[in-house]
Amino acid sequence: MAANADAVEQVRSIGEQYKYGFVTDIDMDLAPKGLNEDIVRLISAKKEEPEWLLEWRLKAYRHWLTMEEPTWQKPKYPAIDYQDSYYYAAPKTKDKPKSLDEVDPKLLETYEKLGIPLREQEVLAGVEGAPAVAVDAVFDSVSVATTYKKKLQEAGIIFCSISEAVHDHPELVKKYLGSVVPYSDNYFATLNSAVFTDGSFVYIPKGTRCPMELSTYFRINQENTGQFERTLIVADEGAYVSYLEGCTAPQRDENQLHAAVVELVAMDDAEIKYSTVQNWYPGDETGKGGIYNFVTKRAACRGRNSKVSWTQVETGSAITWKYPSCILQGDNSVGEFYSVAITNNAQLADTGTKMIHIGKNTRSRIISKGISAGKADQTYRGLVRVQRGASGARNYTQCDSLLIGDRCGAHTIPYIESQNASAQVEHEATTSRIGEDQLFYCQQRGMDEEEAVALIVNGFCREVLQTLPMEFAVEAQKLVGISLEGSVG
Amino acid sequence: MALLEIRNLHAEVEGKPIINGLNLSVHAGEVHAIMGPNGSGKSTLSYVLSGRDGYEVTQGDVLFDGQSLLEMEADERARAGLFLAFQYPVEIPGVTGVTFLRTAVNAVRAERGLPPFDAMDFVKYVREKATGLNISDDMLKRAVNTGFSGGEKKRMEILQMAALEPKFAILDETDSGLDIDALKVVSDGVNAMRDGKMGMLVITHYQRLLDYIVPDHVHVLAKGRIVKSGGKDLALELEERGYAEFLEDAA
Amino acid sequence: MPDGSGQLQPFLEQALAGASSFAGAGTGWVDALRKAGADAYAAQGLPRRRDEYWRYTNLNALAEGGFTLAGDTGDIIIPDLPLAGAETLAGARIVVVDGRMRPDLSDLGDLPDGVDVESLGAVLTGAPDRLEPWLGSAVRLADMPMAALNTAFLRDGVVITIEDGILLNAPIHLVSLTTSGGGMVQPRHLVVLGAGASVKLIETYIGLSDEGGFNNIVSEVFLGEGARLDHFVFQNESMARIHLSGAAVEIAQGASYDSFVLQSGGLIGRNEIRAYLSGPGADCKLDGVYMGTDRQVLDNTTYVEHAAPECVSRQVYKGVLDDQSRGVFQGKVHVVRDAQKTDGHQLSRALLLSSGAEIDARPELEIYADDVKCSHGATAGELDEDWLFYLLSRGIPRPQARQMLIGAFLSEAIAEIPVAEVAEDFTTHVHNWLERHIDAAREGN
Repeated sequence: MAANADAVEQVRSIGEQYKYGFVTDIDMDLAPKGLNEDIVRLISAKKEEPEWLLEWRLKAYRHWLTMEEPTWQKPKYPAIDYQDSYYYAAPKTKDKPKSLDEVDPKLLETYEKLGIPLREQEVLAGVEGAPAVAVDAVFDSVSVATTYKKKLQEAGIIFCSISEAVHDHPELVKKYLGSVVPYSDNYFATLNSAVFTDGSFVYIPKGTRCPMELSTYFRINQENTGQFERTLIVADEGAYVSYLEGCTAPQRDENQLHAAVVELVAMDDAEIKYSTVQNWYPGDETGKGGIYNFVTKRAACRGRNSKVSWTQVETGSAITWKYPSCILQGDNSVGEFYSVAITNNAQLADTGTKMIHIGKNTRSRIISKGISAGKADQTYRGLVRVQRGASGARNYTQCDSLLIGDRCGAHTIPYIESQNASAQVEHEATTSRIGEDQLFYCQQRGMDEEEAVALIVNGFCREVLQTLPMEFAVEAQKLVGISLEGSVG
Repeated sequence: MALLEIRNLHAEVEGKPIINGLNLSVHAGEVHAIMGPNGSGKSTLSYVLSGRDGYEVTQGDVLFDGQSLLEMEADERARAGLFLAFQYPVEIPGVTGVTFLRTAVNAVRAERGLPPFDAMDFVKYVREKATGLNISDDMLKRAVNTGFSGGEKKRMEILQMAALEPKFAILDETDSGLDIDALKVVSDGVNAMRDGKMGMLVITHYQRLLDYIVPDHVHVLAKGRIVKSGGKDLALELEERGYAEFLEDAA
Repeated sequence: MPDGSGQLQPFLEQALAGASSFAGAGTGWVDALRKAGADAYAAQGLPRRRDEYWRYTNLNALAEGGFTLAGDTGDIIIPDLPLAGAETLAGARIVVVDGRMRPDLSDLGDLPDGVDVESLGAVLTGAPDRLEPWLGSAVRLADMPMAALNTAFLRDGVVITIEDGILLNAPIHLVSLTTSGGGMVQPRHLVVLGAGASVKLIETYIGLSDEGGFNNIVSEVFLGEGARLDHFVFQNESMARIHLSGAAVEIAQGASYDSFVLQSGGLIGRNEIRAYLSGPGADCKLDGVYMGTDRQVLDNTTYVEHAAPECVSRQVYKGVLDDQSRGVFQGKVHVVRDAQKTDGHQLSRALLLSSGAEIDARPELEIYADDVKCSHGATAGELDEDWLFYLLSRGIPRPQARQMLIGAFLSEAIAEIPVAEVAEDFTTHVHNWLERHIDAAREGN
């Protein structure tokens, strides 16, 4: 037998326990089904957006009509009927809540179930000794509440929903929106540019180090809605911010589309750390239902010595299709990509990163760990491009795949394009499986199979999990099916 | 009642019979040495007892503390108090020694109804067990057995044994690849655990180890069964005369 | 799926027009094979940028070249061949001129019984059915559009057949020359080894003219159980010529295929090898060295299919790129579901010597079995500064130091060649190339 049959069973069972699959019964404000120019106008009107933004959306929408859905990716999916969906869904409230007490209690209940510390007291009490975390909760594309605004405001930091930012800081939004991912960039980004409803906006002023982790939780609740968030994070000169995105979705039989766009801008000496722990509903073991996670994430390291690092732990979604990227424009800029992707049952993933070296002495580091089990199929697709003027560029890539069971697949497709002689590009990839010897060794020491597999898989992913902010590393490890007490210090 | 009782054991590997009617009784506190030529089934015996996949018992039974061992999975046997010190300990990249050991120790403790160690308490516990074994903190922070020399791997095995506090330990050619100094360290570690209650099976090809870990009984294993038993002097006899006579007799 | 209309399909008309006069015309299966090639090429057209395995190798020059199929070339004088050692060692020399096998210029005297070397054209005309099980069955037309074109032009080349158990010690040397009259050549070679047979094949490609032209070569190799083929290729075509070489290799249980290709000529030089490990214990080693100058594009594209368990594959391609040249490495290792205990490794390393040079690499792993050991590595960079400094500090002049380091980098790969004479020949060529290109006139690195 090529693989220990029981180990395979263990990993399968991890996938079965999707504990976030509940639905919140709440009054929703829905736009009519379908997508056309009127819907775009309606979304813009509901949010009371200025003219320039409506124009931008319309340009995007009209461009989208001329585009063709791409077919080059490995995971194939049945055709999406873009008309059979609601493009706007918001919990009904009379006015904007002035305090958390005014927010629909059922909503708060949802967030409690998800373990999100919405109330500031809970945040302070719940996590001992850990720094506070500011949370922006998004429910079906609408930002519901943001904590810690006042404290952040004192530091000059703006952390609010994009809708609010459009009203309160239009000049900032106008300056940066679409500057990293232009509306014409790709099919799903263009769709997003037309119909995005909300997302987070972060601006860190010059020389400011954001004193706490910023976090956003997304949840797709309403049936047949697509989730189109738009996130924009700008770190001005010398600024630092660490941002975490976490996601869950209810179990439904139909597939739901999540086509988000995340733009990051780092100026001179600025640093942005962006971590994602994604646990969207992956579909059942036959592959029915589940989220289509098609996301465009890109960082522009504009300034000298700027740095962006992407860390992702992807365990959910029926299909994941995303390439968080860094454009290393500034001299000495640094881009990092750390990823753990787990696909089980019938999940499919085609994910990776793009590092484009443009400035001088830029560096990029890619560590990708893919674990495939069941009948899942996973592809790492990465691009490291060193443009002609990017002298002194350095890249190191390590992609490792771990296969559990003999019916899954793991593929690695790196594209290495170097046009500069002084650049050093190094790429390594390995494929392996959990050895029977290793399993037996653990078992002889008293661990049952589930523990043994968890331990070995955790060891496999260690390098990546270590880069997550401490507060969320534990949740990530749990998601990876491991119950480990993280070693202290 | 014997702590470990092997009754007429027959076992096969890939359809080939290796153990052919082995009988053995080890009481609590006793150390039995198993010696034999290559191919006699020494390692096979250790794998059959510890429950490794691919080893099929075709006849006979093994009782551990009165319970049938063969019905239990490998990890169940370990939690019941059986320990195997491997001849070739495997590497597990990315998993630190301390994490590995804490997970194992806590699994065994859970079985015994004891509370698990938290990270800090465990480090104290392990450091204590590591005295005399020359195992540094640094070694524990490295990935399990990765880049370890032969001697370091064997010392780690003994540390694990000390930490898990088994009822019965099988040492599978623990002396292979060790020089005299390493052998002394390992033997001292083992002897420190002899408390009159733990049973031990020391499997070895050479007599030398038995100068340090002195056995109560010595058995000669040839062609899958025990062909001669005696006291510790039997080991010295074997050293002088070799195994040849047993290979003919056991035909 | 692209259809024929609107696609660029240069040369197709020539193939269709000539079909009725090519060797073997009138024999059912031969006509059908040529037609299948033409149809497949018509459906796909000339590969473009958006075709995955051609995105880095631009064939526009072909579309614009207007080349015509070479006619019969008369007498020619064979020059001194660059692989002197190989020449001395070889037990037989086959000469192909402008895509046609030339028995009159070849020397096959010493070949033992059980080893047959023939012209494909002659066999297709005289006794084609003998080739039916082989010809066309290794090439997967949908995966190799240029091989499809070659199939449409099927008419001549070399057929080498070795019977079961024959161990041929002295290598066979296949020399392919192109002349000024040879605008476009489309030879097809067939090598069939019986069970347990073993042979070494050395190929040399030389262009005798500096005019542009187009070589579209396809080789089909069949290795019976336990057979072994060592295949060394020296591609030193003229710098104006487009040289595309495709090989489809079927490797049966326990058989071995070792290839080493040194690419140094051609405006575009492509070495494409598709190896199918179809029985347990089969193995292949695909190695190569390439040296680019001027505006050359040197491409090594491999596809290794582990279709059976316990097969081993190794690939090492090393190259140096100067001026505005471009190196391409596309290596795909595909492991099917039940191909357990696969052992597959790939390494691509490139040195860029000038600011205009470029390397594009895409090592790919597609794995459906879990009990496998697969890895790939790709590096691109420049000479190690520390090593260079070490040599300079010992008084070695810069150009020589660079030559030594680059030579060492490439010779690591060449050292793997099991036939000493061939390794020496290649090393000599590399040495000469370095002396010509790395000289005192150069500034900096």
